[in-house]
Amino acid sequence: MRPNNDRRSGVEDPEDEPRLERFRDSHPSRIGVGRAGSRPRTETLLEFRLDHAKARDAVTTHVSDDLVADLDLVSVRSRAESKTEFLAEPSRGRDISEETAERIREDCAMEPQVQIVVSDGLSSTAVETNVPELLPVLRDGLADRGLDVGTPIFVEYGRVDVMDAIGAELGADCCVNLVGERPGLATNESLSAYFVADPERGGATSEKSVISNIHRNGIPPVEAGAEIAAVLEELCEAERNGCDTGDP
Amino acid sequence: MGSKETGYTATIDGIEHEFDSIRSVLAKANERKSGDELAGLAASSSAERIAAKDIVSRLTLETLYENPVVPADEDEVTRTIRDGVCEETYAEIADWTVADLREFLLAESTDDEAIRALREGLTSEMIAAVTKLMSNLDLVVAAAKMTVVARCNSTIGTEGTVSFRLQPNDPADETENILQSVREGLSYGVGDAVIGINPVSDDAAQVKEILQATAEFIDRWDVPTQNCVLGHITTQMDAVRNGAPADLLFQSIAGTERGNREFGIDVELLDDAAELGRNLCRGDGPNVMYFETGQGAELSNDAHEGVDQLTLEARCYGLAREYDPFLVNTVVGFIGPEYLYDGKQVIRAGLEDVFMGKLHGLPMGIDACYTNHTKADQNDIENLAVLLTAAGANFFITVPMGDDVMLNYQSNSYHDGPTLRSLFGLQAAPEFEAWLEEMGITDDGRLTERAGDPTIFTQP
Amino acid sequence: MPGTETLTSIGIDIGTTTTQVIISDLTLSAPAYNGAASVDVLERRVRYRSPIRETPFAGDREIDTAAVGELIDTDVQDAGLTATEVDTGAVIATGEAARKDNAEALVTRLAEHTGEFVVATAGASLEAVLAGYGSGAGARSGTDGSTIVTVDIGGGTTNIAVFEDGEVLQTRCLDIGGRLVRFDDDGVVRAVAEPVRRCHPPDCPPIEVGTKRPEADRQALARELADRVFDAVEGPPFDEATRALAITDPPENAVDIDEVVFTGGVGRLVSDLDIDDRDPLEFGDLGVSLATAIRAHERFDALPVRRSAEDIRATVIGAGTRTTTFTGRTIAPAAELLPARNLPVIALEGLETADSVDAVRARTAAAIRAARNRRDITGTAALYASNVGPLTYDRLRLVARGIAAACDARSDEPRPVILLTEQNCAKVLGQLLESMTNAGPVMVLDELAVTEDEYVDLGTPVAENAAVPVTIKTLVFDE
Repeated sequence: MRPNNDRRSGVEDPEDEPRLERFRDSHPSRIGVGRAGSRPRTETLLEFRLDHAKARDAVTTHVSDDLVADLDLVSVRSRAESKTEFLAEPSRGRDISEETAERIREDCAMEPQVQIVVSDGLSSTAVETNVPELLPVLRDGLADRGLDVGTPIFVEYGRVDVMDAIGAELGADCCVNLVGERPGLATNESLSAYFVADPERGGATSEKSVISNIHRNGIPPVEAGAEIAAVLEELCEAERNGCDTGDP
Repeated sequence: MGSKETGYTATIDGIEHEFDSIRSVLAKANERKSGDELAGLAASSSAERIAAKDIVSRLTLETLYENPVVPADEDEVTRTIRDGVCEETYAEIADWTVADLREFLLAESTDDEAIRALREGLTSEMIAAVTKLMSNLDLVVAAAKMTVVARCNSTIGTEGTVSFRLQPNDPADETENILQSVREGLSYGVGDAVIGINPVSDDAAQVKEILQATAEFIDRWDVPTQNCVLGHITTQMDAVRNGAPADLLFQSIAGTERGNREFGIDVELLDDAAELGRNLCRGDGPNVMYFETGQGAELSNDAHEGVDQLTLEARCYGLAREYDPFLVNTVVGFIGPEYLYDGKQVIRAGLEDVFMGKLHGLPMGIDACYTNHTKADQNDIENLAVLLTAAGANFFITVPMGDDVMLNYQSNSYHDGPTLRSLFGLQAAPEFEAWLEEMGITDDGRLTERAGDPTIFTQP
Repeated sequence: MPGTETLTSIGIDIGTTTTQVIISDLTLSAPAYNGAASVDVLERRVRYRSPIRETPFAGDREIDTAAVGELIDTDVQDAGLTATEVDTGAVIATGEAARKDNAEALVTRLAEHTGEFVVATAGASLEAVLAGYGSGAGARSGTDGSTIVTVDIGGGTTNIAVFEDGEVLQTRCLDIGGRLVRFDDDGVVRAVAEPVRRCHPPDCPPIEVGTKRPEADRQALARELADRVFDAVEGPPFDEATRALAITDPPENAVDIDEVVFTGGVGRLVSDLDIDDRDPLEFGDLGVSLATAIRAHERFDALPVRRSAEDIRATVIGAGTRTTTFTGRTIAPAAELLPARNLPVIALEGLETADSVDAVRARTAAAIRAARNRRDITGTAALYASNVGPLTYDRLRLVARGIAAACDARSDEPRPVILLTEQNCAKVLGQLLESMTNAGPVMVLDELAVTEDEYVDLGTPVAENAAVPVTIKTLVFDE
């Protein structure tokens, strides 16, 4: 006899089918999946493998040059020369070379109030899916507030703290770094926005405030753009008043 | 202090390899790990690695005793480890080389009893050193000889059993979701080690709420297990003082004083926690503490003191054994590719850690896991789980379908619990095994039709 | 570690028979700022329970406002508080009390008097839900994963709620209560409530005021009422006789019951093991007879009945601990507009299909006009959009332009724009509207579910200005 593969839940003949379906539909985890012997069912296994494959691809692929051009970003690279180096030596992703520093000083506006940085981080997919929606809202929100935004930069192989180096080189009052989060199986699209005021090389990641979980099923990118603009306004304000900056 | 360390030299194929300290020899003797490379401590060639192992094999236990990798006057972990050593036992083996220790552990005549008699004489550095000489299969064989039994509400680690932590984490700390996942896990027969939740929000009220919900569930269904919410130890202590029903108290620990400071703890705090646990936790005990460790944690907090990650990991166990914990597990593969680059390194570290934990006399388990930026996949940790079940690990972490949606990483699946038990002819913790039979989830140890159906726990 | 925030919440229940007050501390969760976790109440601790007192009436048609006011002032004092320290809560007039001529004015006044953000509310379904939560059964159904039916039987109404996995599945409300008939000390009928006429047992002469009835008649009526209660618990389908007593539309889907909990004044008597020793006329009404009839009913033993520790206080605890919800965490509040109370909701239906600025403007303008005409709304109202369409910048720009145009056209003088949304888009709509409208201050709050005809109270922001506490209420007083 063939096993029944049409069940809605994975469980054969559950005590309470409607309840099981409700759990399964509303629960964030993979539950109510049933089993083949003591192993997962085929469909469940392949779903899991697909999600992991997408997460891996988000880590290993690159943000397209077209997108960077469309968004009018100045494109640079961190000190990491390859994905492998970027993954094995995080410190390389946190800094830029002297040549790169020279280039951005030439190509970008100096001493902006706000410096926007976009980094691939651990998910180029997060950048590809969210930044095109987020960035225009952020730019408009900052313009509405009369803040001087400088020249937004894209960093390949960039980590959170790379904005310290960039902000310091350009003399920015504060920086935001939109960086691809380490992908999970639920989404490979999650983006974070990290903030720093008065950027200096060597600042700790843990001391930067952050808005995380930006993606279509978390904080929608348009909503995040408006929120980030408001946080940056507060940060600039605090910077002007010379006091400590709080969390967003 | 006795002998002062000087340079160490080994000549292989006519080429002389020189090392300036015990610390350096130990580091370079490690199997390849990206974390040691990141710290600038790793062997620069495969040959240098073997030269270092050669030197390690000839070191005496006394040399290691006299030369802890972090000086005792600078580090309370070193002092705690030293205080935990039984001087008489140590004196009997002080002149053994590390090679002698390896061959003792592997000898047919050496059984659980014999190792138990010896292990109190070992420092964490000695245990780290012998680990560096062992192949993967050596580690499995030696670990499999050792049983470490611990008791809270259930008894884990007895011969012929393997247990599982049920980890029903939720990205919003929703207790209802947590309990649904508990139902799912229990229906697969996992959860005999602990029902342990990592909270999103490290807040005493939140921790208390989850403890209460899980305690009520455990009471309602009479599950012979223990609950634990893995917030910071001080948060749990606050919650317990506030009447939260916790069976175990948890903390992540490091192998250096500085590393522990980064975790917001020190020995004094752990002493207080252990006492509070004995007095206020619900668990029957006597073992009420739960620790997690993992290679690379010290380096990631810039607190490695120039020591390699395997040796630091051993020192975590030296600290942990002071507290007679109910559970200790290494979290191997969570920390990222800069410490363990791929599946091969994850598997090696898992085998090392479980062996070292057991040789410290700890009820040792493992979170065999990987993040998505590590070059590893589910197959790697399934392999590791098979190897470590063979090695007699006390317990494994399990999550629904291997996917932890809160911590965003993958570990063993609830499914792997019954799979590993049936593959190796093992049972759950004895109280839990009886409960599974009574609930009709297993019949004579085999999954029944009811297994895998979380709704068996929804009728009153 | 951040300190946890606590709100002091009051619950006031003015019922057919009794008036009760509870005061509780609501501990708020402080979740990580990641979009997945919203502000929520983590712990509800009742710290003051008033004595159970008879509701003071002034004649048949009115509640004695001054006497009720005094009771509550004393309670607030006994709890060691002043009215200004009460952050939130609800005043609820239930059962027969809600039908008195001055009920609405009374609860509204009490709400204003008791604390700046205490709401007045009413409605049988809401009472059913509050009693279910207040009894603890709502939460237990969540942790147990069970289906629990809570049956709150008071003086004038029986409010049934069905909870499944912590969520309200259905409510069923009937005109049945202990005070439907009142007797004097000699057993002479002093008052008969109207619903009695709709549920008369077949073989029994009508109960008239001024007559003294044999105990058998009283028992027959109580048994008939008990039949209706069981039918309401176990249905659907429901008997015609049960439908005749229904206050709200009865549900159509049957449920498997794991547990039944009786609450309310009569509900408490149901759990009283010594009820047979009580004088049937102890409370001068049908209460004891009805409770006895329920206990003795052949279907009682077949039900999995469980006792609640908070049986008589279930509704007031629900009112005091369950009426506050919170907005999402990315919002555009306007400090000058908060707190705001009694904002009528104007729902913008079908906004997602409006595909031009003009279509959005027209739809918004029409909704405002219709609401003003139909409901006599003159002051500030809250617009509510359950679905603005896909959350893209282009789409939201279009929607904001349309709404801004409609708001600017409302009147010559600038008036606030208050917009509530269900989707997580308040911050971006706030940014857009701010730059587009000439009207007064703009406030957009999100992750709320309300409907036309409801009212909202908005509190001052909590959790470091990240969220606004909201109370949604339906003021359904009988005409």
